[in-house]
Amino acid sequence: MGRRFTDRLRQATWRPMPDEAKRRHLDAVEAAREVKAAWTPPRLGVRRRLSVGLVAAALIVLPTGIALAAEGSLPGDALYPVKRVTESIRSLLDDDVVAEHRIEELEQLMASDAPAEVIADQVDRATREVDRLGSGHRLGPRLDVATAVVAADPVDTRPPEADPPTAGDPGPADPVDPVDPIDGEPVDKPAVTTGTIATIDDAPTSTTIAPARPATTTTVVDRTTTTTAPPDVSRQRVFGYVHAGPTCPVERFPPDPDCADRPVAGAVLVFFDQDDVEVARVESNRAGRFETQLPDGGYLLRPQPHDGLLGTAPAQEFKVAGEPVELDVAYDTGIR
Amino acid sequence: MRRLAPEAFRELYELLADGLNSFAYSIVRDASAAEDAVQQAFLELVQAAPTIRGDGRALRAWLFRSVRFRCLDEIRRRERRRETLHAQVPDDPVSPVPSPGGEGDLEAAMSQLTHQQRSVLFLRHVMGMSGHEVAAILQTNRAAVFATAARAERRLRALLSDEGPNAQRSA
Repeated sequence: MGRRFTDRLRQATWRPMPDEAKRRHLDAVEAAREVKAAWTPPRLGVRRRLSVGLVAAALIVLPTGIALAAEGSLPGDALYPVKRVTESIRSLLDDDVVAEHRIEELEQLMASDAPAEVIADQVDRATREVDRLGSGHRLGPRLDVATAVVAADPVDTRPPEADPPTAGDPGPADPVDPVDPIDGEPVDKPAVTTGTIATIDDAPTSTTIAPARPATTTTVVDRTTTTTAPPDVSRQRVFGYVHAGPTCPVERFPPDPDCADRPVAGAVLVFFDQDDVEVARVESNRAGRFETQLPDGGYLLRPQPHDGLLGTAPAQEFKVAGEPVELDVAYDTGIR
Repeated sequence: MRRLAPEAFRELYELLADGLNSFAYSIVRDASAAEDAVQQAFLELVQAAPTIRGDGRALRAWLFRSVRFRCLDEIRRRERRRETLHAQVPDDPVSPVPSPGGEGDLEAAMSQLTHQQRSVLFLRHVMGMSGHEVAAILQTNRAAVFATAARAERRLRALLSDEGPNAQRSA
């Protein structure tokens, strides 16, 4: 297309705006400009725009920062409620986040030498959350380790160098026997005969001895009750393991490790003396372990029926004669 | 482009009104609709001027784009009313009467093109815009602009050669 074509095209297509239309358009535009001028809001200055930006950024960043800061908070901290809120949201996607937080808090409280009451409350909370997840959850052993450490490290103990107590005087506190943090096995140590009962437990536990001497000092760590009384050299440790089996319908030989008996938590074990008088009552802990102390003599152990298990474990007689006694209590799951 | 002063607005209108009106007419083929499209584009500019970035070319492209949108809206409106552009009675006294070998031949041939082809030819040859500017107004790319221009010129040449004895010379 040459210049001539361009000229012809211009002549053919060029349509000047009529003067009357121009006047009408300019009048309309001017009127629109006046209206717009009346409606135009004042523009924000640089400083005000910066302020608005900072406020907007703060509204976005602040909640995130608070939530992150609250992650490491402990019960009693100002940010702890924030942590509970965020974890309740996270728990919608992750079932065990709450239980894991409670155990972490327990571990932090123990490391920070928190008061025994605070630690005991925290153990309660952690146990409740782990129980909610059901038996066999991965957090169970971690809680067992934490509670075992708590039980093995009583906070409120009397000085060991206290004079031998006389009748009615407070004697030295009897720390709970240390327990292997891995499998809950009591660690061997010289028998401490205090005339008291010490249990290692994280399940609802009530430990009594009847007839019991008047307690003089009570230390509460977790739900482990340590009743300290004047030492009684005739008492011996009586401990053992409560388990239930079978756990698989078909028993194999050699035995399948996955079908091993499982520990029974919260099993109530009642001890009777030869006069058929109840002398002690203990509950097994999460690892199925129990422990009490009894004077020399003959006894009958009667395990009590346990929810979810068939009948009860067989009663068994045993004697305490100057040495610790280890018992094995086997419940029947009813699985065939 | 924060705000146009009244004088600048008037100068801008004087400078571009004829070109915009011609461009609008090349699309809608209706003088009244073309004038309305130009007026609406300037009224929109009153509101949008603070948001337009760039130099005078950007402002010119913005106005042509706005006029084009309004013309296309008008075409769609007419199509909804089942009116065709061919049924419109020319109401503009400067509308050419086709005569062999005259400008009426060219305009009659132009009316056979698509509005996209007419827009490309007008912006390229009458307004003298670059391929880049035309692409910005038509919201396409330069290659498509050149391809459309080539097709339009071929079609125009063919139409003119069929219509009059002087058509071949004009192509």
